[in-house]
Amino acid sequence: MPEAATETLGLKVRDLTVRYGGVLAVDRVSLDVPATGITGLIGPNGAGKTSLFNACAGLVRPAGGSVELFGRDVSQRSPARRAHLGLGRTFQRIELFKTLTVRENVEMGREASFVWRRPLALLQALPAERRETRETADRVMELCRIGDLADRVAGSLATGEQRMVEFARVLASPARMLLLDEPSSGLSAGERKRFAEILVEAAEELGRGVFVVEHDMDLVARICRQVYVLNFGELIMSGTMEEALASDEVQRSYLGEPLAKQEAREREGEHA
Amino acid sequence: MHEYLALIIAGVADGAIVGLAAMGLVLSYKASGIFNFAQGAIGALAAGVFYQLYALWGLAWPLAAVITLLVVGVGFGFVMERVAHFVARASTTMKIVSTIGIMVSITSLFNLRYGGITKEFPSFLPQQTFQFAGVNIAWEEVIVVVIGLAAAVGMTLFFKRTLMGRSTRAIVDDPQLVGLVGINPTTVRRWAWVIGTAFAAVTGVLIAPSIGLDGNTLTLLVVASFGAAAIGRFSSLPLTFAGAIGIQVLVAISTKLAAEHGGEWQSVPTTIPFAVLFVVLLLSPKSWLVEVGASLQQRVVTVPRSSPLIGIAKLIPVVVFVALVPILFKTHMIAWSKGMVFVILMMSLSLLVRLSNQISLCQISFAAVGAVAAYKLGQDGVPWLLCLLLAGLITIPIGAFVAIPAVRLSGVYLALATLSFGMVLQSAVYETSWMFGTNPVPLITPRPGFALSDQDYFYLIAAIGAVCYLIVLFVERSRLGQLLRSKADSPIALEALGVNINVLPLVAFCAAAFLAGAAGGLIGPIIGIASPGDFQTIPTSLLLVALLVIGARNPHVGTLGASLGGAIGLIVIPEYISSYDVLQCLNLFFGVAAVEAAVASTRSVKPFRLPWAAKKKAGPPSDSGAPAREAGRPAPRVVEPAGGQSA
Repeated sequence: MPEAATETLGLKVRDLTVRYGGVLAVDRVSLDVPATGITGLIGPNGAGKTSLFNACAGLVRPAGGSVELFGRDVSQRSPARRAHLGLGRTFQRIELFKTLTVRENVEMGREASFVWRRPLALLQALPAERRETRETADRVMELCRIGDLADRVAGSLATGEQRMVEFARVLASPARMLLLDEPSSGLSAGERKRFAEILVEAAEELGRGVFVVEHDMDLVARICRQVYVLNFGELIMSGTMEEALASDEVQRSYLGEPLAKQEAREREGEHA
Repeated sequence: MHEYLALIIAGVADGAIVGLAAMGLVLSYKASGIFNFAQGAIGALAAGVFYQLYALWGLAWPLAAVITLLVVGVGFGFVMERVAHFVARASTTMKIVSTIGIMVSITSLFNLRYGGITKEFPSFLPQQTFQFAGVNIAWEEVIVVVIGLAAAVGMTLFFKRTLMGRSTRAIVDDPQLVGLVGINPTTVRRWAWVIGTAFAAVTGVLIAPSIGLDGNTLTLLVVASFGAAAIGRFSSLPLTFAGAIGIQVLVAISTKLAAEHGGEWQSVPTTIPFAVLFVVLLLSPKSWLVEVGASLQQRVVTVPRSSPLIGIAKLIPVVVFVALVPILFKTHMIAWSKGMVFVILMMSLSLLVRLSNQISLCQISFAAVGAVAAYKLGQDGVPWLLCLLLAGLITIPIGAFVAIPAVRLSGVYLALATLSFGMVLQSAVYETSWMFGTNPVPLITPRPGFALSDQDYFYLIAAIGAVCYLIVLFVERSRLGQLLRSKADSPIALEALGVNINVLPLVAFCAAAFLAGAAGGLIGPIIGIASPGDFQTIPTSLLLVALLVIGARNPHVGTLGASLGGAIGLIVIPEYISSYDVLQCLNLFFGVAAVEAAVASTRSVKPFRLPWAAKKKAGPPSDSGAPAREAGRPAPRVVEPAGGQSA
């Protein structure tokens, strides 16, 4: 096992604030995501998880704060530029190239990184690039166990398979920090279990850092070393999953204030 | 000052008339997500029906008006609602093609009945005038303004106050959901279409007395209402109405200036509505231009692929056929040569429509630029083939200019931007010294010395066509092609992978403009002259898109097949037909076929197999396409119906 001290920061978010008109979606959130391993982001619906992700990826313009990617400030960079600097992401609503095959989808993950390398790269791939693209795609598809779907058209697949293709596509890209937005939504229990295994294996084997938004607590508990908890746009705690589950504040944020109060009252009633 | 007041009043009256059609357009667009390019044709049809009843059969005009409204407004509104229903899930390109199809059908029906000659249309509203502030105002003008204002106010209140009005917008995005709260979405949509077409009908009937009964002019005038709809952001009825009045006042004033100054001013009045449309689309914030109904387009037509062998097998009959054309059709070489040029034009269009799911309604304008460039270079003594190449290159900046809206806009707004660009070029630039010149003498465009005979020139075009086909094939199979397809499916995912997606439409438009420009350079020498009449945006650019889509009606037909089929239908067959009526019937057929192709595009597709391949099917199912992978290239896509699916 490598020394923990060699670990560097993949994503460093400081005082990030996102507003939609009068709504404060993310309120001065600061968090660190290590460059390796899997980190979770949880919180009830509307907590601002996806807004935080979109601000990290550059799809939403934050009202304040900064985002650093592997030590470089990318706050003012376009989404495409951040991707170049090593940020990859999947989407809550699956975004696949639906009329392309699974292989073409996964290959595009690698291929996209060649496009601006040299003049005319936009037009045609070099043989070496093509070879590398194919090999990367083969490896990733095997890792994600979708090799048998390679020639299927992506839009014709079931949701679970589509999620896996989207994940494989971002794995095939050279991105070293992956933002996964609810990767297990729409999956069956069996598929979730399999996805968790694949995610852990892939992150380890390919040495990627993963930051994942997830609703499935079991899944998060199984894969994440550390979790951040958001509620109403504010970071309410960070720590291991056990700590998060034990925290009163986290309980309250999920069960809701009235319910927590009610419980408290019941407890008082018992005392009386 | 008084003369300007009179002009403004005339402009307001015209604006009230055009504003009705524009509001109807916005209304049906809001309710169905389908932008009705046939709005003008419906107006023309109404004028035709009214003319029949009032002028030919001698009915009293109020009775004639009511019958016209019932037949065209209500009757045709129902027809439009059905068409809209069938194409609701189709791609934007297909929706546009369906209404272009209706436009072509109506225009040909109109021409079948009334011929292509303008007939005088008797006025029916009171012509007496009264004095106001020293200006003569006709009662007719007062009446149309009152009708327009009443419609604008009534419609606005209807949308603000009634449940049906408020539910109209919700219906497009989620018809089932609206159904759940107890409103029948079909009823609401039908009402929106009935009102929309009725407004177009009223416009047609009111405007006809001042320009006469001429299908093409009437259609074009109402197309000018698109600019007003743009000012209303394609959603606000009062703003649309105000926009129409503003535009028509400008038109009225510029008409007077044109009459006084002549020269360059002549084209200004006809240009204004389209220039407004282009400028508004160019400058509007993107958030204003959200496409209605795009959320429904989630169905994916899964496109089966076949091996390169099948691709080559499909190519052989095409090559043999083209080689035999000069022998088989000796007497119609001009038609076939022109047809071959249009094959190139269609292929250039397919780069946009079929590959990258963008729509261009100004392809013939690119050709016009190329034609003029080739002519001018030829005048300067540049060798013929080099002229052609340079003509293509010169057209590229024009393509890049049109790509500016393409970077920001998609779907129907891009279609409107390209249409307005084509119309502005046609009405404001064609007849200046920059292009075809002000004098009516066409440009003399000789053939090259090495291909003087009709046959030789045909083969020359075919050879250049082959080169163009190779370019198209290269682009389709290159990294660029794959990127364009990816962007058509999901721009956001491609951007997240690190691709600057704004460059892609730019490159696609430049490539398409290059090919179209080169094709334009080939048109003139076919008969030795080039004139503006060869390069009309309406209908040619519209028909190019429609015919390409009809040609690709079967998704197994490749780019070449679709282009060839489309060009033969558009150019060659009509040259064999001398009867005006039969020609109109052919157009009617194209119109219906375009609607049918659009409807068919939402159905799924069966894989293509050669007859003998079906027998071998017992083997492992996954090895089709395996040879292509070995070769390290993607298997040739059997191309999807033009435009693909998602927006």
